[in-house]
Amino acid sequence: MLGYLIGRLFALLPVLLVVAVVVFMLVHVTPGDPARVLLGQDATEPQVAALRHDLGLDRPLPVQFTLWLGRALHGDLGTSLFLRMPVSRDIVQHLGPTVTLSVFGLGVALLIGIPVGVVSAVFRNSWLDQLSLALAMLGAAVPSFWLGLSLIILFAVDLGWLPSSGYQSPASGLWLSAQYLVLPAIALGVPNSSLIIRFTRSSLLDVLGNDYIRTARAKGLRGRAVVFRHALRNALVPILTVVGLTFAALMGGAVVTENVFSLPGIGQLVVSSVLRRDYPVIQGVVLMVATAYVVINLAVDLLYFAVDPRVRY
Amino acid sequence: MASHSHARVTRRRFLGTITAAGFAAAASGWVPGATGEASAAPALRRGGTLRIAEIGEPLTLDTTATTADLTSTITLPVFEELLAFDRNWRIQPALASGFTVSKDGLTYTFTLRAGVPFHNGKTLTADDVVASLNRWGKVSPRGPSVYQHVSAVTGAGNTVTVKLKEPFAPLPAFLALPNGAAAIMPKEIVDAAGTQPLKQFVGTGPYKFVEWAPDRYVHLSRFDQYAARTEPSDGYAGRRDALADDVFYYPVSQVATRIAGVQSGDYDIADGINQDAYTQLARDPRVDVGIIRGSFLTFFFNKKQGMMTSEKLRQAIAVALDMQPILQATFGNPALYTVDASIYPKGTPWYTEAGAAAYDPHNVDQAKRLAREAGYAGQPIRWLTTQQYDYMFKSTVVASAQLQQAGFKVDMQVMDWASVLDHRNKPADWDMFVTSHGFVPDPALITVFSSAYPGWWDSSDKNALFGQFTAESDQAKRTQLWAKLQALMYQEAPIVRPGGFNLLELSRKGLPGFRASYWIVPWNVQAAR
Repeated sequence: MLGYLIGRLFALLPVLLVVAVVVFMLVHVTPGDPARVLLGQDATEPQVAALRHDLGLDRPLPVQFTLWLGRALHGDLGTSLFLRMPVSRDIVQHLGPTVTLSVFGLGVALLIGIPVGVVSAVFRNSWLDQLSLALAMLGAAVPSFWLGLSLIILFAVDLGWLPSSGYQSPASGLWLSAQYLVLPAIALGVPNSSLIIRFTRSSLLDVLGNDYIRTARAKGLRGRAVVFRHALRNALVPILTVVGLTFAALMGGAVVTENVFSLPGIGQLVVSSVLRRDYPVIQGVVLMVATAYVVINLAVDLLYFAVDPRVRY
Repeated sequence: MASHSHARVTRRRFLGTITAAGFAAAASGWVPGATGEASAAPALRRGGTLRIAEIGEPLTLDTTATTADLTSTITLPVFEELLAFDRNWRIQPALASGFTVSKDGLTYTFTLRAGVPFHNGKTLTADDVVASLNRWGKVSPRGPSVYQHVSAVTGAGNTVTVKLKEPFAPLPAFLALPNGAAAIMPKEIVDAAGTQPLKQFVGTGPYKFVEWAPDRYVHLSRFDQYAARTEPSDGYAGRRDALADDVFYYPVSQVATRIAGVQSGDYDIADGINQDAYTQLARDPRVDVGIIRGSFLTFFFNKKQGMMTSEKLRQAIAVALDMQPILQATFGNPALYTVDASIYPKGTPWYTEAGAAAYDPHNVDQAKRLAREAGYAGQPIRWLTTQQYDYMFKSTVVASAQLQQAGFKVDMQVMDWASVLDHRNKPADWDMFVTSHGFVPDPALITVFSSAYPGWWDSSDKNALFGQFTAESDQAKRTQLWAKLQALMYQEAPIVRPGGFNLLELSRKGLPGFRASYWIVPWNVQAAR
């Protein structure tokens, strides 16, 4: 088990190196110049050249890459060209909203996905099953952009129940923070629930066909106990995989949702950094997201062990 | 309206000291914004927080170092300049109590107001002004074009003297402009920054900088020791009263979210509203829509390299286009655009129809003939555009469809804005690009006339005329020269200017003291809560 863990963590290194090389190449090959963006439309060429020099952008690419990688290995991701603050601090500041939103959003997705999936499996081929299929299709098809704006117009503008956009950290009060997160969490959770509905249904159907379920019913257990105590727990492994992948993807920032609700998360950071060509931030965020992806997948693998005692590493 | 007559006396007295600049002869009643009163009504309440939804995250808060409007807007209440513009875009005193110009137009002497404190407690001196102006001359994208005429800036006591090598009449306009601004900061802070970006944001304005939380907000709070002018508020000039305790600028990049936020009361003001929302918002009882006139759309030609170095081919393109449909498709409501040859809107001192015959002739046959004479044989015209700004993309799509119909081949290269900025500086990369130009109070500030600006309009006729224009100090003669410059622009076609358009700002219904302006004015505005 420990050996497995260490092996997996070591496998991180080549992944991150490849990611580092690729992202560095991509951002520097893309046309666009941070100095020009910073100075605005009217800057003169000598001014742009001077700023490029100050920012170290006039050095050869291999030199820039080596310097950056060397510092990154020491945990220093560099300094944002625009905000003039360490990239790591920038990422940490933006991680809060993204993690909170992901947790809330995933909560909403699970609250919708698992019950609907279970009902759909238990009453398969009934009108309830058809309805759940329709819901899942609708959830997957609705653009989160449209859903987010519709929620804002209904709950913030027309009803006035919740704030339209923005962010309050949990430190400034849990209740206040939650008010700002309800709508984005729904906008994020609904589309993500579709996959969970479908996976829960199919996984549960597989399990419900097993002999031990028939045995459980035969010994007179109530239907609810059979489904929840025996079937669902055994159906959890594939669901967990989907949840883990979804969560890992969300750590890269729910770009559209963050944008619509103006949440200062990783997604916003990535988009604005790309648009203004803030190279160190783009590189730092991509490295961070890649790490999160690998670590979350590892965590999910370890969770299989907790859910299913038959799994051994 | 006693306050108004007082304003006029003050202004006249001040303008009496100006011989080289200002629009004393042309004091029209033009109002750049559409709504609101010039000065704040007397009974406004103090306190509360003003919440402003901005179009995104500022790239920097160093107001001198960039001409990005977003930076200018957020730093407007923090930093002040020697001079300021009133709502008719006439030059008024700000940190200077006044200035004089020598007869030969070579020496400007500014007298500073006494006892003006900076946010760090220091009192403003001539040394601060000299240091700030000199840094502006190097760092500001606008600085070098002014400093090429400057021989020395010196300070003594409460006066600052700018000595010029040759007359340069637009100097006061540059010093009053809050964009790429000649903002006055303490000398130590200027020296510490040098040509690098500012580390501290210390000015003399009614609000002081508190915190910049990236992607969350920029927070300003009232500067209690602020030394306000006594004249009634007028545009960016006059008395600045920090009514709200705090001002927050939120980056809200989705325009639909900004609109919803004002409708729901989460924001008091929203900037950069899309023109196609106008008709609906104008009927909305929860909000006021402010119209800001004076911007214009531009299609630039590459006059340094490639096919567009041919004046005839540029004229062929200008003649092939039909401006009305381009503007209609781009801005929608006819209240939001003007099909008019004048670069400056009607009612401004610089309004002129000079060159109108070449502005919108729309004649496809003539275009084909001109193109043939220019030796055009269907080579693709590489046109840089972006979807990041909706109006740029829409106008390019319509215009290139018109060009295709007139027999031109257009290679539309759609990319993000940063890439457009990059490519357009490389003469080998393009033939045309789209952008727009905001209102500038002096034509000398219009980028088209700068030989260094991408597009590189460097004809000898233009250079001679433009040199005359910037050196001339007599306002009546400047107006005549401006008409010639505008006519020359339509004749040599360094750009196509399809027409003018208006910008929109949204505010809560009846927000007391607020009036829409190019850079949002947050002082004299009563916060809703």
